[in-house]
Amino acid sequence: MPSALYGISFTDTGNLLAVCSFEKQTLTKKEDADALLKKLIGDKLQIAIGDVGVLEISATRVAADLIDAKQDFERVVSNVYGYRLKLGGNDKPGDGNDKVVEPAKSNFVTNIKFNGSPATEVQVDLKEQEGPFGKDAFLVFEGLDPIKGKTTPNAKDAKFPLDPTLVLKSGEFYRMLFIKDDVPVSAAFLKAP
Amino acid sequence: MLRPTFKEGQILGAADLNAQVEYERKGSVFHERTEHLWGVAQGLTLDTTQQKTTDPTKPPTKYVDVTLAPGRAVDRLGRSILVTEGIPLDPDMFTQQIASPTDGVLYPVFVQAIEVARTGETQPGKCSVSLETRVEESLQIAFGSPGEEITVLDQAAVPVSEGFGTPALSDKVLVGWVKFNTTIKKFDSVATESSTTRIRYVGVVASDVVAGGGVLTLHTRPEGARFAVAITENSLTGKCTLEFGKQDGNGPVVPVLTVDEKGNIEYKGTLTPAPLSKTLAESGVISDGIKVPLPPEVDEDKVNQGTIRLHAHLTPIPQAPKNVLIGGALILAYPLVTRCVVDIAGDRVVHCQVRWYDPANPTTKFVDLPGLCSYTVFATGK
Repeated sequence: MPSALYGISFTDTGNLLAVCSFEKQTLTKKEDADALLKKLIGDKLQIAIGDVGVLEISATRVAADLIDAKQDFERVVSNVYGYRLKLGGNDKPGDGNDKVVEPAKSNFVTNIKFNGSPATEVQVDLKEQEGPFGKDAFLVFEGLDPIKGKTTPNAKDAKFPLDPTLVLKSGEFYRMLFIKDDVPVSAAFLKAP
Repeated sequence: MLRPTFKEGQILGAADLNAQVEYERKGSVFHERTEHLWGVAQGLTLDTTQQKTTDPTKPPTKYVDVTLAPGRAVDRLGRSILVTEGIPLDPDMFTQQIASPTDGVLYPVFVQAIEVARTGETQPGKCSVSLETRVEESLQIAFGSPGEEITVLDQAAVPVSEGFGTPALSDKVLVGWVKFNTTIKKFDSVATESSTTRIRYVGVVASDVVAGGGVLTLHTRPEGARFAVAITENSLTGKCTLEFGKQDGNGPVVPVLTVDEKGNIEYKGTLTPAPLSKTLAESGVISDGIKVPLPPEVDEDKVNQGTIRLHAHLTPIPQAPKNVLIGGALILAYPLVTRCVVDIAGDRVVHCQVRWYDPANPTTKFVDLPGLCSYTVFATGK
């Protein structure tokens, strides 16, 4: 059997978070894809940001798919966060159907910062405005479930209020990942104010 | 087969009594020929006593007196050949049977069943007559030419259809070999094998051998130091072992090969040829945080049990400088691989990190992010 590239993507947006290639396996249904995902990551995907420690995303929020990326293999491998699954019709990440990928390059992140002192939200600045209507975006913050938010209408940012019960220690670094379907995934390791 | 029966008041004739004897004999020889393989059953060894010539005119020469030890054999007709007392082998008889013996050559020694008519005992009140009313199931010792034993040993048992069968000169049982000293006309030595030919011992014809008590043993000799194959079942634990090894008398078998009920094998020697271990491989690219895939056909359980060993090699995939968020701000950063490892005997999760640093402030402005590497994993084992 030939080798094939498999992508692990964020289920809400289809953005690639990791890839792995090995001998091609037959995935025909969601159960096959789920079994493969469990083999590859277990119960959670660990993303190493910062010198020690990892950001964890539950396996229920990511999916494994076979990626037909013969033309883009090198580009995908050299810039995993810059690609997303091309989902059409009833396609869903992890449904067992083969996928193709496309660059997520409509916009990109220019800055990520904490607002407030102590911090009450995370602000993600974008290169361009996303338009008059807020669009779905996600922040995976260390120790929390992915936070769903929206881009600010007619502004170049997206703001994610933090759970008031979450107490950030001033001067400590925190890991986070900004995910939006048409924007490259952006990781940050920020010192809390 | 006719079985004689007798009625009250019946006058028994010799034929009636002979029919009874014949019935018993046929039962015995058919049993020997159909359920056993012919050969030496017990004893019949060629025992030696060291001697020296005593002719004062010549230097003494060593020789041996040979005695056929008591024992029992069964020939291809199913006849029993019984020796109850040792029988000395006569060198003169040897020279009578072997016209021109050669020194140092092994001559086969056979025992052969013969029937000798004997006169019955007289009874009180009966006339003293000399009627041959007994048959002695006797034997004679025969010497053969070198190699003659091969054709004798190859003979099959007489089929049942031939009844008692017709005895022939070749119906004999090999008991050993002698060497003869033609100068002093004495036996020089004895042997139990010649080249690849050995004495044929009785066997069993069986498609199923069942032990009554959970222990089934095969021995290479009846007693003494010997080898054994033993199947021993433990009814309490439900376990079972198949052992091969030496056994002294009825002591325990000292196994050099053991197979247990699960098929586990232990051995003391070496395997020739040594079993080839299978090697399977997988390779590709892999992101940080992903578990290294096992090669196809490799069972995860066998890896966990240690039956299959894994070997892995990782190589970071080079990256070009690019804009990266450092301290939250987008900066053109350069990559430096800081970590690219996997605990292949542990969780198998790849740890590959790249430090993206600001070339203007490399020690203060940087961020460590997940990287990607190529991998090769080998699985070896059975």
